[in-house]
Amino acid sequence: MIEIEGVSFSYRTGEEDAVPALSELDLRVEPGRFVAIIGHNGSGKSTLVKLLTAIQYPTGGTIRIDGVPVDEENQWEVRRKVSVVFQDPDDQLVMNRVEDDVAFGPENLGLPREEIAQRVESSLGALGLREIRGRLIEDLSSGQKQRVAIAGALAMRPRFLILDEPTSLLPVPVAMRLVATIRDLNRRENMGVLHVTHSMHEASLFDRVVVMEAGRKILDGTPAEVFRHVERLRKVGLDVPLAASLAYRLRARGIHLEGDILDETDLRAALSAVRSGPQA
Amino acid sequence: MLELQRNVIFGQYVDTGSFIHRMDARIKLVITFVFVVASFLIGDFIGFGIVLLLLALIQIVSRIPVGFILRGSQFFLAFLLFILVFQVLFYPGEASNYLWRWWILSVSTEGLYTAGILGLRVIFLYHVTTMLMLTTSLVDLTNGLELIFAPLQRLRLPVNELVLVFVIAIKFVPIFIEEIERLARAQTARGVPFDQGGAVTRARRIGRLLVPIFISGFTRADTLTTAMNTRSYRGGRGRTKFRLMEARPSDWAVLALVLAWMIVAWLV
Amino acid sequence: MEDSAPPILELRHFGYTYLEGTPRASEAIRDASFEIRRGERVGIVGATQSGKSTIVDSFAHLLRVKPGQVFYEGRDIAEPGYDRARLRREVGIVFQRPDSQIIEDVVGADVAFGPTAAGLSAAETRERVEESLNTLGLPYPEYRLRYVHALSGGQRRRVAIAGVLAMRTPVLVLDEPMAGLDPRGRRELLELLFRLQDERDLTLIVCSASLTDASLLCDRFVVLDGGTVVMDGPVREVLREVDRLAKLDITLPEPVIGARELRKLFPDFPTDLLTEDELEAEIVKRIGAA
Ligand SMILES: Nc1ncnc2c1ncn2[C@@H]1O[C@H](COP(=O)(O)OP(=O)(O)OP(=O)(O)O)[C@@H](O)[C@H]1O
Ligand SMILES: Nc1ncnc2c1ncn2[C@@H]1O[C@H](COP(=O)(O)OP(=O)(O)OP(=O)(O)O)[C@@H](O)[C@H]1O
Ligand SMILES: [Mg+2]
Ligand SMILES: [Mg+2]
Repeated sequence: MIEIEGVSFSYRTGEEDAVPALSELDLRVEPGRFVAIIGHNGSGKSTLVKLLTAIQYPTGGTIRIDGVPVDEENQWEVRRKVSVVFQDPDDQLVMNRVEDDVAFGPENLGLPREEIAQRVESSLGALGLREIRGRLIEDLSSGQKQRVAIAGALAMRPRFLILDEPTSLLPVPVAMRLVATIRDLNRRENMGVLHVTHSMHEASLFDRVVVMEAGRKILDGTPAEVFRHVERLRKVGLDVPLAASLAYRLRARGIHLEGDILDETDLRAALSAVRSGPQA
Repeated sequence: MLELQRNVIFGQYVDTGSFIHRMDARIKLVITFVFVVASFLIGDFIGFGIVLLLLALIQIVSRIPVGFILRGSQFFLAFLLFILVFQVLFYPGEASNYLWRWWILSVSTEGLYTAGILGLRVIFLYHVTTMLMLTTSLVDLTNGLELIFAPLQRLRLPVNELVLVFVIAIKFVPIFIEEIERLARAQTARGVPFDQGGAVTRARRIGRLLVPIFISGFTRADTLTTAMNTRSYRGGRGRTKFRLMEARPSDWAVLALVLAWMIVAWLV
Repeated sequence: MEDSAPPILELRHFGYTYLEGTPRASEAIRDASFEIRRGERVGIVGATQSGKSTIVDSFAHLLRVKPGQVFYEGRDIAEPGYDRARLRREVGIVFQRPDSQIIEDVVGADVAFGPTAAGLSAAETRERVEESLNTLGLPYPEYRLRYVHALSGGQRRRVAIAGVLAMRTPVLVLDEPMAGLDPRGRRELLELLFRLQDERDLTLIVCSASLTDASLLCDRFVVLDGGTVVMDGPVREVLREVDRLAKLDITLPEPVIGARELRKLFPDFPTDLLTEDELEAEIVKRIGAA
């Protein structure tokens, strides 16, 4: 369980100056949840990720992960519980061959060789990387590199996987496959996922969406609940998925659409009900 | 534009899957050590001639093209040549056979001979270390070094940390090259060309890059260290190894061959 | 009359191999030919690794371009004595990664780099820096002294774009400009580019694996696949071949994705839709306003 209570954080930029990045943030994420985080540029998403992985420590409030307070003393224990993947795989891949990089984390944990081998094997399998296990990382495509980074995080068997815009450099079909893989891992391993994204459509695939604005949480709920606030989201620089926006417009025209509409399939179903409605 | 990676191959790894690539990293490290010692013991052209044959053999077996190595060493060779010219011109001591003399500058047979031997020695050292890196991946290099020096840990020497420093130093060369490339490209695109002007202008432009390159190089090293930390890397403490190292009989045979070859080169 | 002027940019059988002559050589582009006319808005689109960034780099001679392959205003940019400094003052490129573009460590200084290198006066430079930062949603007084590495990802991207806009080049090339921007940032950049194109008669080239924003911005798409040009034509024409595009692992425009889905319900639903308004209109046409 991630428990964030009244957390504030400012970056110190000079002797006096400080840039506030998070203020009074409260957030709880139960184990095994599948959560998306959205927010405008500079709203504090990456800062939150840094705090959760003990790269920075809160200037106010507390964070606990499975009961362990995130502070300097417990940093190594925290890092066993959470793994992080950043936007740019080039910044986080350490070794030069795929399987060596995946093994890097487990090696650091001092696990026995057999255990490492087994974890590497299952992580490579989960991300569909078995065939390219011996390749040099510099020869891979950006989508493949991002998969290697996730495999490396997964091999740590974390309680929570935290992803900071892992898909923003990928085209949508590649990103969708990646999200589907992460979803699958989340279900199978009961591993909690926090996923930062700028794609509203991607966010709508999660169980829960947290919306940040200027260092605060302003909305939190299921995608259907959150994306109902069309005007509110637009006001803070965000948006809703296209299908949700269309449904909003069509309803405003007085067309009655049943149910929550988040993606194109929902929209088609609702429209098909409208079309066959009069006859029924 | 520049593709400096073509001109500086020091620190690169190129996987051709050859016999040498598959050798145990520890044996390769020991062999490199033998070469280093040999380079100081051998002191005549015949000796280096024999060494050269072995280097050629290694080159062929590694399946790394010679042209690639030559182009990738041009900066290094140019620099070496520059040093050697000084070495010749300022040869100290009395020579018996002067070919040319002016003021304190001279060209003598002795000067040429010493500079020649020095040049060969440096090239020899450069070639074997470059080949070691070209044929050994970073993990193998790290693990190999840690295993070889593990006994020193009993003397309370921080072996893991020392190896880490060494590995980062090696990794830093390509990072450094990439940074030069990146900044030169960024500046060119925004109006300060690096591919135009005379040699002096270009050198001056590159000179002005040095400070920013170091700063951004360190920033990148910092990003990488943070990423390593988030993956539970604590300076190599408590680390176990995924890859098994296994010296095959053929690896030992190679070591024996190299040793014998070097002894011959030394004694002739 | 118009047609007799040479195209502003042209590739003729352009090919490129990285690290040529080394064991790590990789061929990125093979035999690509197309022209871009002054004032055109062209999208160069394709999946990852398809060669978009390589083509971008060739436009400003940032690669080892071979003679006879890349032409600017009808002149071979690789011929000896060609004034590349001028070329780079006229072709502004926003690189794919802000980090490979940012030179100075302070925001204001970085944006000023291009204008200063072009020899503009301090006053003129300052004015341009101020204007560029403001138009990108980074208010000048607040951001000019901030350290670039102490900005969020999206803010860094804005700085990179501002740095090129401040050069006021007649040709503007943007490589994946929208990655990492929030929805408002995307919308504003789109509007900004429209406005600039209108005011300055800009030649605009956008590279992306996503057609969503590119289809709003461009009149024409050059589609790359595996280093070769596989389609080239007006945006709507390209979008009509939606099934072919869908195989390329690129992001289809959102309205097109919607239209494809609705085709299952209305078999005659068109797919060459660019905006939400058009999609809405097509739906309303079919179900009728209530
Ligand atoms: N190292 C730093 N030093 C000082 N200020 C920083 C630093 N990193 C971020 N900031 C500031 O903190 C605020 C929050 O930044 P953060 O990176 O968390 O945003 P974000 O939500 O991840 O944005 P984006 O969507 O652009 O990635 C921003 O105003 C940013 O300028
Ligand atoms: N600096 C480089 N060194 C070696 N190979 C490279 C380099 N840059 C690109 N390549 C290779 O050239 C090919 C085309 O790459 P390019 O970056 O032009 O594609 P892209 O369409 O921009 O892809 P992306 O969407 O990933 O940016 C790829 O196979 C890539 O691996
Ligand atoms: Mg961020
Ligand atoms: Mg690219």
